[in-house]
Amino acid sequence: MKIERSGGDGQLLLKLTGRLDTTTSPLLEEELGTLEGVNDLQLDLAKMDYLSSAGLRVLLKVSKIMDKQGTMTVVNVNRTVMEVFNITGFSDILTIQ
Amino acid sequence: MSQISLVYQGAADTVAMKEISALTEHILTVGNVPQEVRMKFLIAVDEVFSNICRYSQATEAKVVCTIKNNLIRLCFEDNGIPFNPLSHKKPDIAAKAENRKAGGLGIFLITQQMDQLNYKRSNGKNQLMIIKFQA
Repeated sequence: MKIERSGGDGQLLLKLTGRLDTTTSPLLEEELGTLEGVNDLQLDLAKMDYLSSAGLRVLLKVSKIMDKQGTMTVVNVNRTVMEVFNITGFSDILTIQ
Repeated sequence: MSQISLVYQGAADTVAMKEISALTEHILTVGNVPQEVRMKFLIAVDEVFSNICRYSQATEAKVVCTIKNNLIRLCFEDNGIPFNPLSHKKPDIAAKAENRKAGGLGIFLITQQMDQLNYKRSNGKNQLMIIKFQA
C-alpha cells in the first residue's frame, strides 16, 4: 500500500493506494500514530483496492481519536470498499463523502 | 472442467500472507474471475489465514483453490485446536462508534460476501470451505 501525505495547519490528507489488510494496516497505523494538532483528517480512498477487518480496525481506532479532537472524513470511496463499509455498519459511523 | 490449485502448504505464519494473497489473485485472474469477485476472495484469504495464525495455535496450514464452471471454492486446512469460526456470535454492526469492537467482523464480512461457508473438523484438522457461484 502507498500512502501520500499532505496538509498542514491542523489539516491532514492521506491518499491511500492499494490494499489495506493484515500486512499493510500496521503501515497506516504508524502513519497515523501521531495525530497531535490534527483537527481535520481526510482519507482519500479513490485508489484503494479493498480493505479487510484489519483495515477497519485501524479506521475505527483513528475515528475514535478524531471524535475527541476534530473531524475525520473519508472521501472517494469506490464500490468494493463501500460494500465492506455497508456490510459492517461502518457507513453509519464514518463520515463518508 | 475443473482446475484445482494448491495455493499454499507450509507454516501457519502471517509472513506467508503476501505470498498466499498474490498466488490466489494469480489463480483467479488466470481463471477469468472478475476483479470485483477477486477482491472478495482476497479479503477472505486475509481474514481466514490471519485468524488461523493468530488464534488456532496451528503450526501447519494449507490453502487450495478450485475453479469449476461457475463455482469458485477456497479451502483452508490447519492443524490447530478445534475452532469453528461460523459458531462465532454475530458482531453488533449497529453499535455506536464508541462502543464498537472490531473483533468478529472478518468472518461476518465473508459470510455476507460469499455464497456458502462450511466448517468441519476432520482427522485432527480444521477445514473451512468458502464457495462463491459466478453469474
